[in-house]
Amino acid sequence: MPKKILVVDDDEGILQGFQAMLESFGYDAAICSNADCLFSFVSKHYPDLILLDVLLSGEDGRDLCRKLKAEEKTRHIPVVMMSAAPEMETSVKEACADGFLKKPFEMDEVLETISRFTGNND
Amino acid sequence: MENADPIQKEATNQHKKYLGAKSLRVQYIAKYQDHHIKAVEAIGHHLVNDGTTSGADFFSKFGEEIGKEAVQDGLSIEEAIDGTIYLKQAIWDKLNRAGLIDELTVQEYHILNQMLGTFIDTFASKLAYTYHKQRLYIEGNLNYLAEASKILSSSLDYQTTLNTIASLAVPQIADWCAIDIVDGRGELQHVAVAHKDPKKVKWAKEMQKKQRTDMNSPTGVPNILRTGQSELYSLITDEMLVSLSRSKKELQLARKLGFTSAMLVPLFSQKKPIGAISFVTTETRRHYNQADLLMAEELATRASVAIENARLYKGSQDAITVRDEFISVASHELKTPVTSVKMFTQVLKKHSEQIGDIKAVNHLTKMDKQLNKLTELIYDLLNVSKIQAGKMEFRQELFDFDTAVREVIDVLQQSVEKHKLIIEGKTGKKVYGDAERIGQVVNNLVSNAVKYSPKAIKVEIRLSTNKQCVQVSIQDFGIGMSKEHLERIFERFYRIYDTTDKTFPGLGIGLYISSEIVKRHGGKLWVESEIGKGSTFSFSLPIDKRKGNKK
Repeated sequence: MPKKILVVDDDEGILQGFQAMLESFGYDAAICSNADCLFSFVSKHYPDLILLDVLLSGEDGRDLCRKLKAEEKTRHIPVVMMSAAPEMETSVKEACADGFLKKPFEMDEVLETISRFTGNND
Repeated sequence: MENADPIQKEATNQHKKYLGAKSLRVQYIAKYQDHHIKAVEAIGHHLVNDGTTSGADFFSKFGEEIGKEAVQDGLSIEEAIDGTIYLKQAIWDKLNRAGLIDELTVQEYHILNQMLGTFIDTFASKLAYTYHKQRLYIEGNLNYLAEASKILSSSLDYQTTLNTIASLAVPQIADWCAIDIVDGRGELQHVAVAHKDPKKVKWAKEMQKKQRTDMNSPTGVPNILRTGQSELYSLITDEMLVSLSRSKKELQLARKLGFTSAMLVPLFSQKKPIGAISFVTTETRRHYNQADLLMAEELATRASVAIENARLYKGSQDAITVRDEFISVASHELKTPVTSVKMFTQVLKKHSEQIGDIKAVNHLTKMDKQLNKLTELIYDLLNVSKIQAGKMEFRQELFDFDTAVREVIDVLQQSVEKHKLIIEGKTGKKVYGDAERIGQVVNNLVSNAVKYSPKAIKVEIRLSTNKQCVQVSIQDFGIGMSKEHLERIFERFYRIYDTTDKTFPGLGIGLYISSEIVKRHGGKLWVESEIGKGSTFSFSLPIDKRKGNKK
């Protein structure tokens, strides 16, 4: 079973980039551009990892992360937060995130991070 | 009449001795001859009709008139009095020529002489008194104008300067001084108000708050705003108060304050009236005249220039803020599409590798590198706007200085083909601060060294230390730069424009960011350079004395 990765970002270009990248490496990629989509997705599916943007339109990704970690059903899903501001790393990790990725991404770094949290993608 | 001449001569001598008279300027002689005629007629009239007392009254007023006039004409006191000596001679001449003096008895002669003496003395002393008073008055105006101008040009904060100007007017020029300016919403604001009694200032400010100025008023500041014309009220009469007051209460108040005289002059911005300075006298009973109004108008012109400058300055500052905000937003917005493009590039590259398309892999590798350059530029822009807004954040941790420098050089060497980056020496010290930002500085300086020495094959990086600080010097063997550039090289957006060689691109922000980072770490960054021989950029940072460096 390929690992299921949910990517949450408000930019369509980035979501498509992730989809292309993840699928080419055999991941099962799902994408969401807002909080409603995120919570509706996790209520039905159980992703192996969530990649979550810090600055979503009208939402602070850190709040969504806290909410996920507060729920019994979702608290075990690893959350890696993403931002173009490198100084965000400390604050997202304090907020609850398991990992941090700086935009723009180096593909190797993204893949390494994903496999760190999900294990081998068989 | 043998006695006449010696007496007249003596009087003249006395005047000369007393006043040190010089001769009256030629262009004023005709004017003074007219005065003489008037004076002789008066003497004749008073001799025949009214006698000494009323004659003295006449000459007192006459002296006042000529004293004021002399000041206005710009005559010296000596010149003005000279006219009076001339007057006495003329009077004697005329009386003599009319045959009056010859026919007098000795006693009559003495009476006439005494009378003339009284008249002329009254006249001269009143003239001198008026002259001096008027001069002081005008000098007061001029002093005020000079002092106010100095204050106006001293600062771009016109609210403060206008307040000072209003305070300065009291009590020398006015008992009340108020400055009103129309604000952005078209409402009249008391920008400044001054009275020697602070209680009255407070009261005036409260009045202003309670009662909005009637902008349709036919006189006063609203009228000035419409017409741009000054208003001068030499004498404020009770009828004027009655007609101007909008209520009984207002009238009572105006009467109680005892307004005597007022002048209101317009302030302009871009040739449109935007406010007024009002000078009002009460207790001092001074009556403003045309000369005062000229002074006030001159002051208002200068104040207008100051206000205009301040507004322009604020406008330029606002524009800079807008620009910085724009850079911040724009650079942030640029990051998102770059992130996306970079992802697709890497996916494509991966795909090309899998199918063995070497050419495509090469192209996509280059594309990825260019995207990294673009990313760096975006971060530089973002850093500049952060520095400007004082929002650049720094980590505060102890780090090994040599390691931080070495790591940056190692990574750089991979992308630098021609130049060998040679590290010499070591510090063996730890520094407190943000290792990544310091690395950014080293990266910037070494990249510049490579960029500006296209024909050289090496860049030397020297590490050294003393008790207080660590230092790194980056020396290149390139084009160098002239002294005029050295002084400005760390300024934001400063670029060297070389008309013969335009091969060095850049935004002109790298050194600015570097110097700001070093400054924030309590260190300094400097450069030595010579055209054709290369440049050496160095920076030093204080060593952390708290821990880690003791051994």
